[in-house]
Parts: sequence; structure tokens; C-alpha cells
Amino acid sequence: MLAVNFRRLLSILLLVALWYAAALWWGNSLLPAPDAVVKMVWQEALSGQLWHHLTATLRRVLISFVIAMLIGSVIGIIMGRSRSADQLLDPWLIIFLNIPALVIIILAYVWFGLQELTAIFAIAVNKIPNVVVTLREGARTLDKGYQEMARSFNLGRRKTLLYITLPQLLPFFAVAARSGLSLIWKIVLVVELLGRSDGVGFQLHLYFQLFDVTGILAYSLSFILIMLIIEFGFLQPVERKINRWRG
Amino acid sequence: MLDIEVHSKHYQANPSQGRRLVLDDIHINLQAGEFLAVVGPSGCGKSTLLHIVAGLDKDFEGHISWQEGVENQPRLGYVFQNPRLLPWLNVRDNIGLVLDDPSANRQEIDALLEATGLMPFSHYHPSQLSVGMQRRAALARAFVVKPSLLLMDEPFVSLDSPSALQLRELLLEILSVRRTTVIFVTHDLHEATMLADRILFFSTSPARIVGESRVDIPRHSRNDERAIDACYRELQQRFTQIYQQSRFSPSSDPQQAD
Repeated sequence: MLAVNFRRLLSILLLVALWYAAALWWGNSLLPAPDAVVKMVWQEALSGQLWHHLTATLRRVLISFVIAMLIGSVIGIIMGRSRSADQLLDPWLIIFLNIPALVIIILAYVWFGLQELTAIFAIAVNKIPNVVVTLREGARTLDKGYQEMARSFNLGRRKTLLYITLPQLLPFFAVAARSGLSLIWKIVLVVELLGRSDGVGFQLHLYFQLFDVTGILAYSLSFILIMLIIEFGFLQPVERKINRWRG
Repeated sequence: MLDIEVHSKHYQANPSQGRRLVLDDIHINLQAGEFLAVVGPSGCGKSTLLHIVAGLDKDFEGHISWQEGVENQPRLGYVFQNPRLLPWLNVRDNIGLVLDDPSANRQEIDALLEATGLMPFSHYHPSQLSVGMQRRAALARAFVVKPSLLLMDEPFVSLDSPSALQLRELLLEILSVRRTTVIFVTHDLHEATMLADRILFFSTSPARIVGESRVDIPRHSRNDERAIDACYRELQQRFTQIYQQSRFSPSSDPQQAD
């Protein structure tokens, strides 16, 4: 474990070193050195700007994530359990899976106006089809034997849901959540770039117009760092915890 | 106590195929406290009958009627071919799950854990237990609801014969304390002889009742191998004939119970 962590650290350090060497060699402000980017992050953090934009983005990520998981799970489970619902909704699902994120975002802004609710709605709509596909798979693989056991022992709806159905779906929720978060935070930046006046996407747009690569890197790296913290500090430990019984 | 009358039960694998008759005129009257074994070849429809009795399958011609003295909603215990324990719950919680109020019945759970020898493993998850122990846990779960009827679907199949014998002895032991009405499905005549008060013989599919026999060995001498063997030979002779007529013989050698 220690050796693995050490190698990971080494690999990251190597990347930073390469970046540094390339920046020195090129000697152009279009590729700032790592220390310049870190300095910029520090300045933005001190001025409060960084925090303001990061939290705006993070808030959108979390709200649309929760909405997409809820709606996507319900639709996915229904489609997995009912053959007629599946046949009815499957063509829609395929269409929504294949609409480019950008199209959904533009249409949403055009139809519903440049507002916060539209932004969150557009992000969620982009994510929902993926959740549906994953949870439908989960609902299809529900064990019939456990269901029979629940019925013959008269467990009732609440217990069947809590102790039989949901535990079987948990791994699928986990997969949907992890792939979902990474998809959402890529989309959220586009949504902000196109029609919001705060957030990391908005800042990227601003620095792009100024051709300020240091600013672009400072904001994107800060945001990547936050997503990594969520992944390793929250999602992975939770997943380990719910999978404890698989020994 | 229970009247099972299945005029016919059809099975349809998919809409393009025709309906296949699975159960044909099965009529069983069950006395309270009776241990009934249903013996027949694999795939003849024995499990389907249990499904119908349990109310899991309502698509059949006939009716299941509980007679007086049984509450409206009879409590069922069901021991399946696979233990069907929930892998995410430990042994104690698996047993407690089927009770409305597990904490109020802690003593009963403890007593059954003790009886099945699972007390030291009550906090283990099923995947950490041997197959035999998983089956014991499934037995405990079925008994903890104090069932008015216990349905058992080849519960000791695919065990090595010493473990299977141990489990049969355990079942008899539990039953001697908690007298329960049981329908026990098996293809193993020797097993049926050891456990049952009455044995029904099912034909190959579509299943009909082709014979019936009482086992007149008192419950307390069911671990007397000689008495069981003698009775078993007698039953075997008597029913080889029946199964030859329907050109089938159920697994008669207990060593070969798969």
C-alpha cells in the first residue's frame, strides 16, 4: 500500500517536473510555470474570488447531481421492473443518451431563459439518461429468490424495499454516482460559460477572453483538486463501507 | 387443518409455446402437526405445489383452504433449496428480519441460534459460513416465526451425506420441541422415510399422486437406523412397482442424493 502511494506521488511529481521544464524551455506567458499558477491560486483565495466561484460551481454540481440521481433512479428502476414501461421509454432513452450536452444546454437557455434553475435543469437532464441505464440494469438483475423469500415470510413493502431491494441496487447507485459526478462537473463548466455570471466556468470564459492561461490553469486545477477530495475523501470510503459484507 | 385442492396448474414458458400441464388433480388434506413428505422425480412440479400453497403462485385451478382454528393469515415458514439468506445481513439479523419485532423476540432467536449451534457465529455474514451452517440458519429463520405451516423444498440437497444426516437429525430435534405441520418435498425416499409421518408419491410431469404411505415409526425413535432402513426397504419395494408403471424410479439410494 505504501509503495503504491509512493509511486503515485512520484508520478504526479514527474508530471509537475515535466510541466516546469516545458515552461522554462518555451519561456512564453502562454505556458506559465507551476509556481506562477500556485501564486495565482493563492492570490485569488486571499481575495475571496476563488471561494466565491468554487462554491457557486460546487453548489450547481451537487444540486443537479441529487436531482439527476433521484429522477434517474426512479425511471431506471421502473424500466427495469416493467417490460411495457421499458418498451415505451427505451426509444426516448436512446435519443436523450445521444443528444450532445451542448444542444440540451443551448435549448434550455433559449426556452427557459438564462437563469439558475435552467442551468441546474440542463445539467441534470444531461446526466439522467446515464443513471437510468445503470439502475435499469440493476433492477433487471434483482434476485427472484429473495423476492419469493420476502413474500412467503410476509415481510411487507417497507422491509422488502429496505432490506432486499435497496441493498441489491446499492452497487449500481455507487457506479451511477461516481460516473455521474465526473460527467456533471464537465458539463457544469459549459453551462456556466454559456449563461452564468459566476462559477468556475464563468471565470474560465473570462480568462480565455484575456488569453490569461495562468488564470485558466489556476481555476481548473483548484476545481480538479476539489473533485479529487470528494472522490477519495467521500465517495470511495462510502463505497468501501457499503461493500463491507462482501468478504 | 389445511385442504389443498389443485385441479390443474399449467405452465407457459413464453407466449409462442403452448401451455404445459404441470399439476394434475392434486388433492391433499393435511392434519395439524403432521409431517407430510412429497416424493417424486426432479422437475415433476413438487416445488410448484409449494409455491401454490405459499400463495406465491395464484395462477391455478383449485383452492387452498385453511380450516378453523387457524388465524386468517396463517404464518408460513419456508426453507428453500438454496438457503436464500441475505448476504448483507449477519446471521442474527437474517433470522430477526422475518419477525415483526425482533427485539421483543430476542429470547426466541437466541434459543434457535443455540439449537442450531450457530450462537458463536451469530455475527458472521452468510458468505463466511459453510453451506451446512447456512442451511441451519435458514432452518432457524423458518422456525422463528412459529409457523402454522412449514414448507421445505429439498432443503438438504447438495450436501455431503453426513452433513445432510446431521441436518435431518437437527430438524427432528427442533420438531420434537416445536411441533409443526410440515410439507417436505424431496426426491430422496430414504430422507422421506426418516422424517415423515406420511409420504405422497408424485408421478413424472404432469404430476399426479400415484401412491401414499404412512410411516409408522414413532418420532422419538427416528434416529434408530435399523428401524428406518427396514421401513425404507419395505416402502421401496412397494413403490418400485408404481414407478415402473410410470417408467420412472426416483433416486432410491440415499448416498446418491445429488
